[in-house]
Amino acid sequence: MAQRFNKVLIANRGEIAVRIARGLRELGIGSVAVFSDADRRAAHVRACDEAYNIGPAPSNQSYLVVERLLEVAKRAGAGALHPGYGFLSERAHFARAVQAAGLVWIGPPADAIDAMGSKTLAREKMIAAGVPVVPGTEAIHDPHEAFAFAREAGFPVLIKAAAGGGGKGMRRVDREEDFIAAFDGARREAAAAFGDDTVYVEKFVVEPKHIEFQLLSDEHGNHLHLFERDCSMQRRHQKVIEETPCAILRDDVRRRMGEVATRAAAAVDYVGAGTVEFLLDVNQDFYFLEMNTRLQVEHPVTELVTGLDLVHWQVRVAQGEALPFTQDDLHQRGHAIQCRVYAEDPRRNFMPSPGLITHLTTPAGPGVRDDSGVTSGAEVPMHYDPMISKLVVWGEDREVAIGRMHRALSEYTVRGIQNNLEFHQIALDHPAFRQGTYDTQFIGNHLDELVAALDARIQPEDRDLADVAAAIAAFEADGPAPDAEAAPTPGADESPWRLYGRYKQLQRI
Amino acid sequence: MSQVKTFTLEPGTPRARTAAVELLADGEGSRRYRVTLTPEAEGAAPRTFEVDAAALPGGLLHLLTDAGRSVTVGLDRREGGWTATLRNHAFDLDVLDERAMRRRSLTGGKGAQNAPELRAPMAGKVIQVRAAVGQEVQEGQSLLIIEAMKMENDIKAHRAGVVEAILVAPGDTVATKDVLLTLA
Repeated sequence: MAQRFNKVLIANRGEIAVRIARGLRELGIGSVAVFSDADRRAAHVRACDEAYNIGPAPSNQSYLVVERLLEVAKRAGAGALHPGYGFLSERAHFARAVQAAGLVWIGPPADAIDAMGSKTLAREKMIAAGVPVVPGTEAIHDPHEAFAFAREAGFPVLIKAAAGGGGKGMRRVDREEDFIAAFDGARREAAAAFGDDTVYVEKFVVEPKHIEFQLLSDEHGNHLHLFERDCSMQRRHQKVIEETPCAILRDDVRRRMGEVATRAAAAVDYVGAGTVEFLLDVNQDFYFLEMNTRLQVEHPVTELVTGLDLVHWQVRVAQGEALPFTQDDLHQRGHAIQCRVYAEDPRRNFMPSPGLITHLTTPAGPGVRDDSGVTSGAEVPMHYDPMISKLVVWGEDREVAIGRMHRALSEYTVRGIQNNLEFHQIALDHPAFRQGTYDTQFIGNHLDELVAALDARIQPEDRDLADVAAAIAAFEADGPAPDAEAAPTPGADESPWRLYGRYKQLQRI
Repeated sequence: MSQVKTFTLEPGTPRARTAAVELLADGEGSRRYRVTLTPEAEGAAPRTFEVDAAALPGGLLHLLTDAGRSVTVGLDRREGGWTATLRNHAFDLDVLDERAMRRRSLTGGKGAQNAPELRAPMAGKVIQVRAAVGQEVQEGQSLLIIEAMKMENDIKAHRAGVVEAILVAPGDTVATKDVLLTLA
């Protein structure tokens, strides 16, 4: 089959840019990276065949500047553009601009993005298809009008960014008196993250599980689903752990949700990879939440359980290929779990912790995949998302996968910045996770308990051995660390022995 | 070759302890040490470890304890000490040698908790200042909002007091530990 393109510009950064670059190289297609001033040393720049600077660190001066991206595509001779997730991936005007520039857009048709991007339009289509949706408003600007809806629907309510995703610009409000301040805050956050302060309000389903279905469609009218992901383990409305299959989803509900999801794709003539998100309540009734018209952060768990490479299929569909398999050919095999490694401090309400990664050791061995966007010596810039990597494991069943994830986490080391590796180990052991009953409020509701478990995890001997190691380091460096002003911090990846050697040299002079 | 050096860990805290380090032997690819940890708190017993330590690239120190335990510790310099990382946990340790301890005892250690300065806990952009000069504030009261990595973070008063000066304005970019405002 004739190829429509043989070089792709990746309009993204971090782990997803690396992930896409890997997929392209596997398919023998050239890759073009773009990077901001803050990302010159980033892993994705090295993962691609070519790379171009597109401006200053703030994303609205670099990764979000359409003209700059198209200029680079032209200069590099790219025939297609992959938007990744976040940034411009769900902006229909960008998809149109890319196509107008003569490039293939590796994503759904702009009209499908429009249809699903407008949450009201998407809801209408779902209602027409007889799918239950959560009560909510359209885009709303007047805080008092929004407040009136919230009062009528009953608290708690959620305020969400219309252009949103990833929990940014999203607030849960439990009390009437907090509503106006939260509304204003959500608008500010939405404006900062997406350049669009439009928000809407919806009723909050209590104790919901977040269950989403992966979709894959081609240009020839084939719409398939690749089963569900349970993404209920969230903090600050952002996913932390994802798994598939969902441990408690009934087979009949899975089948119905899958059917509804593919119907949703067909209704908007979807092409490529996408995701339909549902809320699942305790009775396993489900409500359409939204459709994400892009590749998801958590796509690897689906890849491990279905055996399909979603980036490959995005590219092949964009080349015009028809999907060569049917729904009946697809099966869930074994169990997969993903832990998102964030630069954040779980003990301080997951406060972001940008900075220099002095050392990174990533796990390997059976059934382990690390989709990372950083390396030792990398700076996690304050300008972007705090996710640095995704640790994914596969096991023949859920029990095996959990054990494997524990083992992989024990091999993982991130130093220099706060991170949530320990938190994952605690969360995996909680009875609610073991039973699979956790809902999207789990972390928020159990934060104190989880933090206490973090502290309890540290054995007295661990403390002692930390002391022993630090004392030996001090011994070899012959003294304490210098005052901050007195001397520069030794470089990353420096061994105590080398410090010792340098000290000895100084002594000889 | 026996040589002993003594360090104080986390001085001035209830968990303060000394660590006496003795180099026992210089082996092939590793060194043997005897380390005795002595808590300063009364009634706490000292603990002695004999360890075989192998320094590896990447600031890693692999310890074999006399009880046979095998553990890898990551070591990073920090202001006034070291960060030791094991089992995914980072221990931030102030480590002072004997000379520094003597200097410290002359000047007297001062804690940060009562300091007038409220410092930025992270790098980011100031979105909102919620306090005014002269305002009386309670400990834990939200005083500023800093945006980092697209998330808004409440910066709270580290103690009660009266706002003396505000050194930042909305739109300012701040680095970790920058002074945001001072409390009298």
